[in-house]
Amino acid sequence: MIAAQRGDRDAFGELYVRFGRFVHAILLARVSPDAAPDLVQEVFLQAWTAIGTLREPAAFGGWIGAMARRRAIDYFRRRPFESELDDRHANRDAPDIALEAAEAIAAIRDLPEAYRETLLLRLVEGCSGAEIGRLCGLTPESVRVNLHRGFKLLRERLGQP
Amino acid sequence: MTAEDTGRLDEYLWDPAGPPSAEVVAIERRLASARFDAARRPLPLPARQRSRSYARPILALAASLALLAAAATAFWSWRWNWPDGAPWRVVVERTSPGAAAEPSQLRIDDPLRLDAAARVDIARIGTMQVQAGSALTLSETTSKRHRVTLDRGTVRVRIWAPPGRFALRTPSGNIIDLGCIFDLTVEDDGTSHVHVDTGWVQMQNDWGESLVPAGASSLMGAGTRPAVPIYEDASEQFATAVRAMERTTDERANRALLDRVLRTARPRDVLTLLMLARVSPSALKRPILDRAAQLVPPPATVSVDGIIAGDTTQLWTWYHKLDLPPVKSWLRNWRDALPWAR
Repeated sequence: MIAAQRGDRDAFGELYVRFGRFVHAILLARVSPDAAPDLVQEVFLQAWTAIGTLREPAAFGGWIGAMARRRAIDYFRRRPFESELDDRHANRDAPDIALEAAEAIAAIRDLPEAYRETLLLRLVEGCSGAEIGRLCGLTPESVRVNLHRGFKLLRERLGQP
Repeated sequence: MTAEDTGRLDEYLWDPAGPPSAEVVAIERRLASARFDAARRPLPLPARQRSRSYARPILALAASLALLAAAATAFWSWRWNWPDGAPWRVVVERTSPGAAAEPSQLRIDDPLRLDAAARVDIARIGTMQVQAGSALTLSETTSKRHRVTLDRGTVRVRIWAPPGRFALRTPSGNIIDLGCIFDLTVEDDGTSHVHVDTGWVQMQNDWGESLVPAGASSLMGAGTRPAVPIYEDASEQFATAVRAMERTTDERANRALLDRVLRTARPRDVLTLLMLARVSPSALKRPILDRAAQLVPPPATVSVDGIIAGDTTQLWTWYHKLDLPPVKSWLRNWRDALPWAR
């Protein structure tokens, strides 16, 4: 982290690998799956220019998470003529994301906000509950509850027994 | 779903490395194509631009500079402003061992006769060390002009101010500070002797004026023209002969002295030669200027004939080509304002 602040590209690359999935999940909870990867890169490029302002290295996760949430808001501000609904279905022509994945993500985005990021981190990015707790600043109990209740609701939305 | 299935599902949701739950794995597979893979999307990092990490020190520097500028402006204004007629502070040095320095004031038109040495603050623009036995009077003090009459005695003046802001009136004429450090002695007969350490001093009375640069000295007698400046490091023969020439009106004696002057002059003494030529009778001007031209050739636009013909502009053009400090450079002598200056 300190090396990245001093301008070490490799060190920052490691941060990208380590926190890329986290940022991606935050963005997936807000924007279309095909737009999210590009926004991940934008968020990290923004972080690269501003990382010198971060005083506490341990706060990097929360810092870049907040940056990702702001970037998602800006994304919709800059596209005033497209509704969020349009955006959700814009991925249907996207070559990289399978239709069934897009539908499942859309179902997750319809869940209460508290469950979205937790489920996306777990089911899309493959993070463990402990990792999710560390990344999102949640207690293990909260993560367990979010995963349990969120997954139950998701199954209902996807029509699974 | 049995309680066991639910337990397995929750555990697998918590720890994907544990025993899999079929329900969760099914949805994981469905979502697999959306997973972010950093390796497939390398980050195109540009060269590091100036980030906000530099903004803080730059802002701090700008704030410090602004504060410094404000302080300097305030100090500048405080230094020059002086209430009209306000007395100057005088600190008389102790007159006997164990006695304390005696604070006093120099008031307008109130003569000060000093039995002991003293330091006088020249408003806020400088100081004057006054030797015992000196007699002086403050005749005028405002923000723009400070004038002191020195009837006799010796002072060492240290000023950092624009030319002409401070001057001493003596029985033989005025000694005008042009931003410098200098010594002035007024003898009992009224003759003023000036030696300049830094900058310039102008000596002036009804018969003429003389500009004295750093390293030179001059004198001015009552009822006579101020003498030409002579550098302190000039030979004694040269200095004595020049001073004698200035006093003598006898032409034959002057020619003998002139021979000594021309023989002993150095390139640095061309300043003295030019000023001497200016005030000498016509018959003596040419040999003085010819010798000066040998020592420091004049600029192409200047000729000895032209000067002798009365073109004083040519003489001053030559003068300004000499290695002299610029007269209006008082700001460069900022060190004179420091308490530990010479």
